[in-house]
Amino acid sequence: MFYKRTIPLIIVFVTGLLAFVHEFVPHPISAAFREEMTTWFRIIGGFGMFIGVYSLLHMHTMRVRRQQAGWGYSAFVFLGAAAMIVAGIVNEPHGPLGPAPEDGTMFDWFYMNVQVPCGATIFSLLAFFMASAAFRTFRARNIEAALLLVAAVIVMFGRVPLSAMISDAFPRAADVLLECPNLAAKRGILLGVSLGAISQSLRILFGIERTYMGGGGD
Amino acid sequence: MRRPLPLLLLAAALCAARLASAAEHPPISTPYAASFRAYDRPSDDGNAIGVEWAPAEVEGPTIQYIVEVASEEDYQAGKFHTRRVPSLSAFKSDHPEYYGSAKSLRNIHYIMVEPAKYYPPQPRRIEEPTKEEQEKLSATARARLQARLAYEKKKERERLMAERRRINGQTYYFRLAITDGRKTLYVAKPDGQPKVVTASGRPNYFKWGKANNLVFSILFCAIVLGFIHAARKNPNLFIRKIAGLEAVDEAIGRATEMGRPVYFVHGLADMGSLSTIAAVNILARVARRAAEYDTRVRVMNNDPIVLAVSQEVVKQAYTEAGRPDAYNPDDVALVAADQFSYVAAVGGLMVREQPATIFLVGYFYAESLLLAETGASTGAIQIAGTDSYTQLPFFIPTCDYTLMGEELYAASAYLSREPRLLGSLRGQDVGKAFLMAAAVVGTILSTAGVDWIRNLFLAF
Repeated sequence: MFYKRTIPLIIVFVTGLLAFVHEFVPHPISAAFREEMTTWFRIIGGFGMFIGVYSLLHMHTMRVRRQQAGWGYSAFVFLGAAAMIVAGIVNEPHGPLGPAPEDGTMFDWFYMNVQVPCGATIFSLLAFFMASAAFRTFRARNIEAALLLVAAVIVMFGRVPLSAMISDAFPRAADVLLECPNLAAKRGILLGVSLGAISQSLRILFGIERTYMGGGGD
Repeated sequence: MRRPLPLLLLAAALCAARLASAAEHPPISTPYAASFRAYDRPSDDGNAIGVEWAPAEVEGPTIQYIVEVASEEDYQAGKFHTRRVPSLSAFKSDHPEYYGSAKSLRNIHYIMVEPAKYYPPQPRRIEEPTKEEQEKLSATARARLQARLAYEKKKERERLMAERRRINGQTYYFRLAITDGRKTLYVAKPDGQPKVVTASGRPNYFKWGKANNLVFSILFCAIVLGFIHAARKNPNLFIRKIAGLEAVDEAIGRATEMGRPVYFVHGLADMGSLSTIAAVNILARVARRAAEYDTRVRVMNNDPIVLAVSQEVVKQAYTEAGRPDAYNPDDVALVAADQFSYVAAVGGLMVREQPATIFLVGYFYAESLLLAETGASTGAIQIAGTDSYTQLPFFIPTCDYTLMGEELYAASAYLSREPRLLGSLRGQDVGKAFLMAAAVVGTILSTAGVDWIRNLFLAF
């Protein structure tokens, strides 16, 4: 219990307190501490990547072995990973461990011509999803939904050039909606979030909230 | 005898021109000598010196101040670096983060001088083989060379930084002059010699500009800790109902009845983010309840550290529920590290496995709507929670329940009903009431032209 609970809690308290103090101390010692912590975080993150890769490959190996629904996609994971690893190691024309050439390698080619377009394709779906979500939201079933619909129509119309050609009042109305009620609501949420963050930090620093360490914390 | 009249007219014209010129450019005078001073800039890391002086009697667009800077050696040799400052600009009130917001600061001229800009440290040349020479090396030798160069460059950066600090920490000499382009006058001592002031930069231990943040932090901490203490004595605290959290049991029960899995999606932030810690806390409660109901929970991670923590949390939850054998490590997996690969993987799993319940809890970016809309299309009951206010509008129409802002942080306490955690929630609410009151009072006072309360809440 001492090694699994008490020592981690002491580390959390001390590093949390030092990070808090860092915010108020401009001395170079404070900056050096921050730099050191960041370096440690990066090193731990590097080791964490091994856990991540192991988890990914283990899950997909099991899926292929058990031939679960969609196991073909898991096989594709291995194909993609192998292609990228080989391209990265070959690193032509400089070879393994050589410097990265300025004009790009096969690894870069795969990334730019497979990964990036696929990512852009998924991102572009957002427009259609937004339309379907907006359709559901803007059905005027009650007074609140009707108000939302009216506000949305004003903002959308105020944001297109046609509205300004008809009357300056439309873009102005859209601006008022965005800069007054919308901004006030956003700031209200932000204030709540900040206080929630302080409260959560205190619970963690003083070891009251320990669920993230495993266990219910009770 | 015929000449005197034109000569007199010429003389009169010259006098008039001279007088007109004098009226256009009144004679300059130096600022009050005692007001000219230099000192270490407070609240900084020792990299700057502040120089201030009172405005001269006459200032204008054509009048400039000249601040002269010299190191000990240059001062002995009579050499100075100069910096010109337009007389209508550069006031101490431009830097409230160091000197506060007092109105009197608007009447003091001020500049910050970083001596290392005038006396920069000399970088050392790091010998680097040419590209052709590098290509002749073996792969191992090349890798070793790259590592050595990277190490030497890092060391050189650190040396330059230390050298800058040393340079800024030396004593510097300052003189002040005023000029209208034709005449230059030095701020002088009683003996008529230019007044010289000295200062050096030194690192400070406190940012005074953040004193208000510190006071408010301590105040909120005291309120929250006070309520945690009070909750120990009186555990029956009233906490307002949060619909999204009331529905957690119902959502897991639904998955149990339908025999389908519960999905838990963390968002994209890493373990350093408070929203991810809050999400992991909720995961522990959800996993424990799901283990009790014998329902499968699948956790979708995109960060390896979050994955490791989630695995530990879910494993512990199954153990506490008395069913450690039911824990499957592959159910808590890293599905992808890239944003849209993650969306594609999770979306695909949702469509294939048709989960009964989906929790979207944590910090989200553009993937929020893609995931929530895909989840909605599968007919799953969805509970979302995020402190990212830009994504909240996407969750509200697509999810059955949405935890907004601080409700995400409240979730763990709310679900556990543990008195000390609930006490912190009450403290949070009291803090919010205090801020709301301050916002109302501040708005009224600012409208009435009283600015002190606004300045009290300035953040630097």
